[in-house]
Amino acid sequence: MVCEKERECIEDMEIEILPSMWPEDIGSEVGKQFNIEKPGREQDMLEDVTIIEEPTIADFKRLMELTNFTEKGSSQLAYLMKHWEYKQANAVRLLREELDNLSKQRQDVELRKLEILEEHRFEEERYGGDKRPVSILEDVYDIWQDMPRRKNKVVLQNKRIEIDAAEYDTVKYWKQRALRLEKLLEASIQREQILQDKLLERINNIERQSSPVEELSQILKRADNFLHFILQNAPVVIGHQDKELRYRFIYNHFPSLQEEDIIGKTDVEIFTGSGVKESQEFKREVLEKGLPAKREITFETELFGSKTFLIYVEPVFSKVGETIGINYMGMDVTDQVRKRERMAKIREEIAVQKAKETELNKTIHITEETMRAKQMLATMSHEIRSPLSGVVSMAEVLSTTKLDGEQRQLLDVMLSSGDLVLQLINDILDLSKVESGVMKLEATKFRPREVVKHVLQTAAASLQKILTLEGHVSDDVPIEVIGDVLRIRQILTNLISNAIKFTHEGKVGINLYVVSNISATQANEDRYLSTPQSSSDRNLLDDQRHDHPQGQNHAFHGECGSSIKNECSVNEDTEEHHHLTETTVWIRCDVYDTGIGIPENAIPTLFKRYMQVGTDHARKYGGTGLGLAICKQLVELMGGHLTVSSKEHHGSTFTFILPCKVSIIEENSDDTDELSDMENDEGACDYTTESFFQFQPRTLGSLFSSNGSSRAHKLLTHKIGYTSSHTSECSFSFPFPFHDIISKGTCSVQDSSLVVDAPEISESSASSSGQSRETNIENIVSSDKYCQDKGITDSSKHMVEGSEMDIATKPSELQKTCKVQGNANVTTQCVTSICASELTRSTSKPKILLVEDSKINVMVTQSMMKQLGHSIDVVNNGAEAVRAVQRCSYDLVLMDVCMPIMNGLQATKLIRSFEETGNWDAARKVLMELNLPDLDHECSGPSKKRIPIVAMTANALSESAEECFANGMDSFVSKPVTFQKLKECLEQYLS
Amino acid sequence: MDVVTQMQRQLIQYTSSLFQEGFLDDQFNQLQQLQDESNPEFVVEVVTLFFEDAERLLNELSKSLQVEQESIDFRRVDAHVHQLKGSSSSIGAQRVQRVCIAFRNFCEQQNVEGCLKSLQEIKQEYSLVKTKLETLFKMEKQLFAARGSISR
Repeated sequence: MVCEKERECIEDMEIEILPSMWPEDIGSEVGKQFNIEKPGREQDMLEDVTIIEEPTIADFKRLMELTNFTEKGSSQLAYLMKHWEYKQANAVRLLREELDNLSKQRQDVELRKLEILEEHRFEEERYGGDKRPVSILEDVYDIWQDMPRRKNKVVLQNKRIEIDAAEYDTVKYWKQRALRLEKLLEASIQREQILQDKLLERINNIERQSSPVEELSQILKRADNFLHFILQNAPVVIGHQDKELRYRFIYNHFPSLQEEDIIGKTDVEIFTGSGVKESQEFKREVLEKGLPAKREITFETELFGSKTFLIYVEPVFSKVGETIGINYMGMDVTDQVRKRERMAKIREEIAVQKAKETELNKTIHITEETMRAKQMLATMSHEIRSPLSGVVSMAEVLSTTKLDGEQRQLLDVMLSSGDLVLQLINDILDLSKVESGVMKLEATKFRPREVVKHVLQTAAASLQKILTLEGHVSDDVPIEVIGDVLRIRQILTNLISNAIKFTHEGKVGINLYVVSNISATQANEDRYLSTPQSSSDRNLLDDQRHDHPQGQNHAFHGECGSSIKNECSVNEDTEEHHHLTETTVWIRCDVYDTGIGIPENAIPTLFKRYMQVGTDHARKYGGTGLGLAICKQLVELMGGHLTVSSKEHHGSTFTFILPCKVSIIEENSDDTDELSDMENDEGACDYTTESFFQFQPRTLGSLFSSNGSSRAHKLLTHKIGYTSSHTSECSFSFPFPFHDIISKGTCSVQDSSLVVDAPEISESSASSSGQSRETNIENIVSSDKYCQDKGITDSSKHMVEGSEMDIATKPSELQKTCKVQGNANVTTQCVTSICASELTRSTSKPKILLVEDSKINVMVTQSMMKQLGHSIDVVNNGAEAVRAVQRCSYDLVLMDVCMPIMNGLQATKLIRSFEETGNWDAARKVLMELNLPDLDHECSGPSKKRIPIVAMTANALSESAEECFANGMDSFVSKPVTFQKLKECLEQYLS
Repeated sequence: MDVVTQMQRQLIQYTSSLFQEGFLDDQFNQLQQLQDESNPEFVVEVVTLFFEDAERLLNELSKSLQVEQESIDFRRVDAHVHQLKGSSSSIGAQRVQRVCIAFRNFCEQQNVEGCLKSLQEIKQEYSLVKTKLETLFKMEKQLFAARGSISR
């Protein structure tokens, strides 16, 4: 038992001791230096990853060669060898140690055997041998000293044995002893056997474990796998090329060629395209220089399209140090390059944008500065103006005091200079206001006719030349529009005064009409302009030249507004100017003159600031040169444009087109009209429909007579108001034109309704003096003889008024003539039949109205009617027809059915409605719905008989006979009209 | 004198051929009757007006009937055709007028194909009648120049 215990103990000790001396895992620790994991585990891990061996195209022979040749290879080999040797030595040492150990044990065992034997002999010799002096302590000490000496144990055993031996030396004892020893020996042998087995096992183990070639090849394989793994996942192309740049090895993650297509070939041989040559050259360069280098090359090949590769090439040296090839690594960086380029572009754009921004900021800054400067100019002008106007007005007051001739002359100069400076400053102020955006436009209702009239009146008031001022306002111009009336008036005044300034004889006038669109205006221009000009030529008295310098001798002319009410719109020329149904109308205004005109080369600079046609002009005519610039700016500010056409020595026409909103016309009840007009100083009713104004020059005498005191008159007119003394100045004369008084008489018999407006002056005088308001009553006119009578009474009344107030120059007789003449003049405007001569025909002629929109049909029908001995009035749509029927009473209406704006059926219905009810309410309503100008104020004449209305149909489905009859038509004529049909029709209805 | 007679004969022949072939109808005679010394250019004026009017209308029609348009405003087309019909009948351009009638029927049916076809026909007829009339006027002018006045 004890022995067994001992043995176990020994064994334990052996096992425990060994590891402390030779760490078992020394080999694997060494392995870890390479950072390679245990082969087994590693292999498992790699097994998960499927290694596709295909892409690896390697020339293994070459690799071997390489390994032999290259330094790297050899060093690696050497290292591996060393490692192997080291391990080998380790193993040998271990084995040797074990052997030593074992032999020692064996020796021990033998030694003890001998000892035992010796002891035995001793005991035999000395019997209860006294050889017990061996101290236990000593032994113990020994044990402590010489671990692991078995001797001690043996000694210990000996002691025990000695204790046992205390039992005498009986045979039995000895036998026993011998047996025991034998057993011990046996055990020892057994142990030895075990040890030997163990040794063998160890040796086997060692042999099995540390077969270095296997291990190394495993490591190699692992490394190889790892490399494969990396290669497989790395987006790179790795290759080796020899001295001639032929591929010896290539790894391509995205192979597009077979192995045999690449190995042994050069780049150039493999594929073509841009970049291939470059890469070849680059590789050669590296090969020659022997220094690694990096480069980005863009390929454009058929094989893989356009791609950019980042290529790293390093030379490969042999052991001797000469280059034997290159290693090359390429990486597809196409996307990166693209991104980079995009970035660069973006950066560039940003830079450009920034540059622009700074530029813009600069411009903004400059603009702001300019604005500020202009605003300052405006403020300054304003500041200058106030004291200056003080100076000028004081001078004006001074001029009313008693002065001698010289003083007056000085004062006149002072005043004219002051006026000039004031004008200049006003102009600058306006211009800078417009340009700096300070000027705000106001939107107010105003009446264009009123504006034209006032502008002309004002101009006439300060006129110092023999000029005729006239204004035409077309019928289609709305009665009220919305706009900035002050500015429009300013423009008109500016243009008119300009025109007057440069016109020495003839006339100056305003034409106002609506254009449907801007381009359409050009065509009508000539026609429109020629008419009034030619008539004015006839009106012109004779060549009276009075070139008074501007600013001096403000002759105050008498003014008189003679106006026509209810001018019939049956005018061929205006037929194109239909009033649009939109709320905005384009109003065109021509300001024409018969002046000196503008040379063609001066037109471009005409609207520029401070520019006048020429320096001599500036000297001759004065002025600031700002007027037209302001006009243009204002017109453009209002959304229109200003143009000019001119012929040198013949005259100029300034034309501006403005968009105006049409205001909704209030419907005045008939009864209140007169009252409200009475109360209204402006005589609003007059302006609503007046369409022609004319201001004739005074006679020479009065012109001269007003010379001296003109300044005072002007001043008084403007500052103090009209006084009776001024009304005396209000004499005017119409020239004696081509119409004689007989024509007037004819007119009176006819039903053409007209109004002779009370002269403007009587109104003003009424307002100032508060008397003779009756003159205004004549605003409303009925449609027959009543009208005529009234007209006459009107003028005579006026004469009375005039003579009442008249203190001065004109004999009332002349005025009367003039007045009557005015009426006659008006009449021609009113009757709009095709030829004026028609007027003088017998009054028994029936009046026929043709309502037709087609020009061709108008022309044909007109000609036929003419041949049949009738003259006809023509209007172009139903709305105009209604208006025409309201103004004149017709004996027959020929009505087309399909017409724009209002068709014939509706027009007929409206006319019938009037005939039944006696008022035009239904028509008004419809017109308002159509956004057309309102009807004129009603004439409260006797209700009329039913007018025959004959439809002119083209036998179309939309204009069936039934429908015509249903709408109140009496009959119909099918188109095309023929003599026969017309004749029949006329016979039926006019007999 | 011979030349004048020949020209006169030619003119008469040409005019009668126009009537026979149906380009013109009696309305044209009416127009010619309206022409006198006080208004010697009346027919030419009216016909020129017709040309202008017709060309404007044809333009409008082509615009209205453009294929790209989502919806064709047949009422508008009809109005234009109506006008054209009116003016062509006024000068007696019979064949144009006839096509107009067919055109209006297509319009009523809202038949785009038919309308387009009619438009083509109208254009053709119009250009035909235009050349014919222009030739006629030229001949008249030549005769006028040669003789001084046209015997009607």
